[in-house]
Amino acid sequence: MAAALLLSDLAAGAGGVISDILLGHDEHITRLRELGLVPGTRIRVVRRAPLGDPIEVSVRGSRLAMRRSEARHIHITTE
Amino acid sequence: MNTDWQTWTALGVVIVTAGLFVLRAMRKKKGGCSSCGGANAPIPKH
Amino acid sequence: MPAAAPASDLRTDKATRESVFALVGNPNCGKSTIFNALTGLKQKVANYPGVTVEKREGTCFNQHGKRIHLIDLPGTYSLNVHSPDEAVVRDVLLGRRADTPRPDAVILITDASNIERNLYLATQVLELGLPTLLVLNMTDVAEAKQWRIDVGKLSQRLGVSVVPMQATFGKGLVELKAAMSKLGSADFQPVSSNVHPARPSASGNELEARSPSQAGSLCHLPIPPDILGGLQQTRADLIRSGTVSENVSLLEPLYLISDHDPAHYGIEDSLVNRLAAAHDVLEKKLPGWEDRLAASRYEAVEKLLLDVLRRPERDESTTTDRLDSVFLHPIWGGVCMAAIMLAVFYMIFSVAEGPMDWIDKITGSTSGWIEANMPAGDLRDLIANGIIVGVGGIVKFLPQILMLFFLIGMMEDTGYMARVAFIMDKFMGRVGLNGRSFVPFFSSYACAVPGIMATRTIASPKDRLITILIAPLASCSARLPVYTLMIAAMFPANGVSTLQKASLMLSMYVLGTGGAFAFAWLFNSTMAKGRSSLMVLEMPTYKRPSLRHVARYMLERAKMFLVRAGTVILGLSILLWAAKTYPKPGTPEPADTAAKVAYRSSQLSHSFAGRAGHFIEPVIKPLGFDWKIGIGLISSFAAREFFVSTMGIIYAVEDDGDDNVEPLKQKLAEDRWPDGRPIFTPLACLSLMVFYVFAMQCLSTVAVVKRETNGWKWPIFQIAYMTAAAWLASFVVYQGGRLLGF
Ligand SMILES: Nc1nc2c(ncn2[C@@H]2O[C@H](COP(=O)(O)OP(=O)(O)OP(=O)(O)O)[C@@H](O)[C@H]2O)c(=O)[nH]1
Ligand SMILES: [Mg+2]
Repeated sequence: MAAALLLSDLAAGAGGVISDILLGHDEHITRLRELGLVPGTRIRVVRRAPLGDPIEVSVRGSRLAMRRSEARHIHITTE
Repeated sequence: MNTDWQTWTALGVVIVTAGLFVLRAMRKKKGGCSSCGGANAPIPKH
Repeated sequence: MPAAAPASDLRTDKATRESVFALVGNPNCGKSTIFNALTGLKQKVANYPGVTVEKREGTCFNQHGKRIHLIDLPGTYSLNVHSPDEAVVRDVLLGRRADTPRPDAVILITDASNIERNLYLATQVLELGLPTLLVLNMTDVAEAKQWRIDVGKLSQRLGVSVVPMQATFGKGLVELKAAMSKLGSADFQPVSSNVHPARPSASGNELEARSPSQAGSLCHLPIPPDILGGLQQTRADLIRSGTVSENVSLLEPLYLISDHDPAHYGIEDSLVNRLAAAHDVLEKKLPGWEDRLAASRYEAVEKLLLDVLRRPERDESTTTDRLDSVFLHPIWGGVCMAAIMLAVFYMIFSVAEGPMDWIDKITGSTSGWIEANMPAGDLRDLIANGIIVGVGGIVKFLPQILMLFFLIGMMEDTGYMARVAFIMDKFMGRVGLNGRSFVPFFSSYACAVPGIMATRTIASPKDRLITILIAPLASCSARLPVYTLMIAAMFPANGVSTLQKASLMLSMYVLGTGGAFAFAWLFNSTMAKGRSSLMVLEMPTYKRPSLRHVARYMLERAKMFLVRAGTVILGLSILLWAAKTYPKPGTPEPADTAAKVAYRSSQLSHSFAGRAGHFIEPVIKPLGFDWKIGIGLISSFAAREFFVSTMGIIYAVEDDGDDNVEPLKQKLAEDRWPDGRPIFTPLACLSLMVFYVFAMQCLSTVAVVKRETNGWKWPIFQIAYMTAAAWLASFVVYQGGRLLGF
């Protein structure tokens, strides 16, 4: 069963495939793509910061920290 | 006199120091940090 | 050999010219480490992205002893730039910086343990068409993750030579130099010289713009045939004008100016217009082409790596993961951070104490020796009670400074600093600070000057400005002497434990940090809304700290500190001595001891310095400060640590024969208001510390803020708001404390 979710909703340890990025700024979307977050890419939430925000994600073998307010714009599907 | 000699030398040192400070201020005004990744050029306007 | 043809003349000419190589790569992949290894220079190296924010040039020699001009650059994820530091990379690569020669070749450095993302930049750089050499750095980290990279295949697929390296251990350096020789030699033929082929794609009615490299298929983007001719013309024009290399791919030039920088250094206006027009056409015919190009590049990289990279099915749990499960644990993470911070301050006090006493003794006995061997007079007074007290009073703090930089260096080199950023980001976000602001702010605890420089990694101008404005609120190393002196004056008796002193010091740092966040919030909510910015930060893997790096960092800082003591502090000491000595009273000093004390204090009070102090006394009296402290506040405007020298010089008294030199803290504790109350009560000391937490008091910072913000407006605003904040905070502390009965 595929489910559509937001990256910010994932629990630590859970992952999925990026389906779309809908962010206010084109420029930001471009930068996320350049960091490897293109649709079809597997992404996994590694952990949340001790205070709940930001989150650490693993994508293409690299570890990125991003705020939940940003992760909210990244749509993913899980199998 | 010994003390006289000291008074004038001390005064001389003070004046030279003050002069150096003035010179330094008049010459280039540059952020005084040598180990900042060589970042000394002004940044291009963004 | 027969006479050379003109063509080979050209060639020898090229061969004798010093070639220029640029080091390009993602942030934190080891560019500066390799630059240092090649040139012997000491560019700062640390384990977090964004260490280098400006280019740095040096010279090295290749395997054949030929000189090469090397340029170290800031790290970047893409040539489509977002922030000022990234703009440097693009501008240098394209020869758009007037002060930098255009590179003849690129040394592209990649982090092997993060190869997929690193190769994204590689696809862009290769399309520039410059001779390129790929370094696969950090192979040790990749091995630890059990990643196997087929170097031969990678080289073959990309059409460039690939050198595996472990730069921190010097492994691969010889191979790199050998490869550089080949790259620099005149007969180097870039594999990518077969100009971009644009050929019909499978569907037949569209054309594909392809990378010129041998791999051919680095990226695909279907270009509608009706605009292809125009794009090719634009490319040809750019090549003819010398703006880009003749091997550049079709879309790269367009991509390079798809930034938001109106300056476009070194590009003729007419060309800029053409580029912009081409850009528009492309955007209309192929909406989202930039994103599609990015996606197609990653696709190509993925495909390439299928053959080149072997990695375990599931990510092995690495050392970094294990360490992070403690340091970033929901509970233990915070506990560890607090414990580490407290330990830092504890060590600053305990370890540095002994050496500081030695330095104190040395300066004391030097002073004594001069007074014993030189006849009394102004010069003797200047040397013993001006220069030695002033400079010695600062040099005394060298051990503490070294300790502080050792600890900061360790946090930066291991990668722990990035974890602190991760934990603290919640607060930063609350006050509207950019996630990228943390590194500049953290650097400011060492010194605000490099901290403010590091704001160049922040893309949004508004966020960058706010970070610059609050950076000096981080308690820099120059505040350490002031805090230490005040804490010592607070507890002149030795009954207070080091832990208590360390906690008090830590609370000053916390106060400064809190103040910075509060002002960030204030500025953020009052200033005009700017472009919002993206926070994404890369988490570096933990590295074993390199003692060499840390030692070098400490030494460099120690040198700067001593040079400063020997120049600025020395000069200020001489001037302050003059200000407290002149004008001289008409009457000679009385012989009687009691009369002498009165004579001297009246002399000081009527000196230039004394008058200045008295002049501002009404303003600072509500803070618990008398006119002598006022002298310190004024004189330390140029450099805050000079406050300590000032107190030393003001309280220094000609030796009366009894040669026990009283420590400064003792003299401070004994000083009285005219009505007999002590001046340096614990509350007044606290108030003074709080004042220094907030006050700007640093001319170097003013100069750098002026340069980074292009004008006087912001530095003046910064001085005003910080001084006002300092006054208010001290007022609240002192008056509040008095109300509470302290
Ligand atoms: N394990 C390992 N660490 C390395 C290697 N090369 C560099 N490092 C470490 O990686 C970190 C980053 O090195 P830098 O040279 O500062 O990286 P940079 O590319 O200049 O970084 P920026 O200036 O921020 O773009 C430092 O902690 C180095 O000690 C390597 O081959 N192996
Ligand atoms: Mg660097």
